[in-house]
Amino acid sequence: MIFSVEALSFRYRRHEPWVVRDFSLGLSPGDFVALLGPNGGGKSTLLKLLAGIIPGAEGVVRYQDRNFLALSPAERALKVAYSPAVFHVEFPMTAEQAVMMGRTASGGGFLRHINESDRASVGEAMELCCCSRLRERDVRELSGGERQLVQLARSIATGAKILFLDEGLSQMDLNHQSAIGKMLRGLATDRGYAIILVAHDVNLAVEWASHCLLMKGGRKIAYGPVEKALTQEHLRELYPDTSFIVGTSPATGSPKVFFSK
Amino acid sequence: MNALFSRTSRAYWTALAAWALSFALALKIGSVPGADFDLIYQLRLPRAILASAVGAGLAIAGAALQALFSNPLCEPYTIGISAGATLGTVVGAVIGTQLIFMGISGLAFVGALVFAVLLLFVARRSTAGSSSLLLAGVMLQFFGASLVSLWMVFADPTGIQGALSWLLGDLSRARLDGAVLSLALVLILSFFLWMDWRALDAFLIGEESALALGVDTHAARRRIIFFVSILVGACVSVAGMVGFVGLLIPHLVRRQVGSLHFSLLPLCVVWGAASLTFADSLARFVARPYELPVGVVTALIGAPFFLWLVMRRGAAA
Repeated sequence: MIFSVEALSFRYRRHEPWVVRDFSLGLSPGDFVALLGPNGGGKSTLLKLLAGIIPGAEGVVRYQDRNFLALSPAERALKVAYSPAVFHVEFPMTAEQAVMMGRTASGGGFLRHINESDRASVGEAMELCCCSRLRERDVRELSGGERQLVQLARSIATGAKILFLDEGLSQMDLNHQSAIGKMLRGLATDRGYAIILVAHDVNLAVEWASHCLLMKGGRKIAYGPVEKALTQEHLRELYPDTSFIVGTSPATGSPKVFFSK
Repeated sequence: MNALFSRTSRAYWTALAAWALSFALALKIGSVPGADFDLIYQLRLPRAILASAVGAGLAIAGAALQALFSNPLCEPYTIGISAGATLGTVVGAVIGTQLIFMGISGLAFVGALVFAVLLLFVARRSTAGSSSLLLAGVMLQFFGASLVSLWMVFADPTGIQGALSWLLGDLSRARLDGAVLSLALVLILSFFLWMDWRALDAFLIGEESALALGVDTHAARRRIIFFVSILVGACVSVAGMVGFVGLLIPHLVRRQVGSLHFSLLPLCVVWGAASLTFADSLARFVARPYELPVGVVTALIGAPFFLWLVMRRGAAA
């Protein structure tokens, strides 16, 4: 196990309801987790807590055997890359410069500017994320899906082997969703990355994910390999107002969720 | 050889040439015709040096504030930090001491710092985003300006004329030793600010993302606010409220070299120096034999630019 959480609880203020409650999870290299759940269920907050973006959580977060939240921001950024759901810039910046920001923590002192290894990581990450052709474009002029490609490339360029991606694929076209899904799967299985991807499109996420994490009201409803976690009972618990049946894709054999009457 | 002609180094050469030109122009022209050695050496030279120092300091402070708050409308003047420094200076005039250190008023620095910290507090507490920051800045300005007006009502009327032109931004009291000291101070502080270029880059995409990228955002923000406050305190205590240099220059330089601070900050220093030196020449020249306060000139150019920025942002959003 490379990354684990035990009994994580968090609320923004005292006497307010818990946003994340008594949450435990362990990630191993090769795990590609689809994080599913209703709006306001604590998914984004959970990712931020795990990445150390929001302070003040109860519980323990460990990277290998070390207290992850006690590390400095730079040390954390070299181990975990977090990318938020929105990517908003008000200033002119090319896609390549935006990806280069992934190298912030590996940069060293203020006298060392960009070097060859930075360029290599950025080039490779942009290639993986199908956004090399956007290199010189201003990120403010990119479409939502293209921005997600750039943001994902930034996370990969950090060199961190744990990726927390908040709505990483939601605005991409089908072609990019498929290419990026496969690519992330490849990072997990071939290079030992551990990935958590927040998604609302269940069918899309479980096409490539190895595990499913279902979350509601700040609590873990189910966690396990996709086939075990993605059941009709769990889905009913997650979304009580809608009924589903769970089947399999005729093409790939992966589990799929269908609306039922 | 290639490096000499790359886009960035071209930008540096252009900026330095612009500064040299405007500096030469500032020595050449003035509100009275003719130019003997004494006139140039005792009046125009100190003034050109002081204009360079103040322009450089305000421009780099503006660039840093825009990144720190990831808001293109920020600068010391629009968010009220200059007003804080002014208030500090006026408080100094009332209690009869400025706590001068290295040629700048310690009280101007304290005033700038207090207002900057108040702004940070508002920015962190409010959920309304970037416009609330600007509104808070405007309120701080009103607050500062009212207290300053109060002081002017009760102050000795013989000093009012000088105080008024200082409030509007005025470089006419420049003396050679003080101007050189100001320039040295601004360059040193600019270097300290530049050391944080990596953090400033990351702040461009928002504080949470900066933290996720490994920037110790709390420590970086403290350092940046501290250096910006000294810079603004230094500029305001010698030149009063000179607005919009800190707004305009960073935007113009970004169009040339992009938003990354490794090159942006040094270029802002040079272009800031060039532009305020030029603006001060205009201020001395257009209404000769009278002189306008330089702050009036920068505001006349800068305020329409600010409006244009607001409209363009509205169109983008």
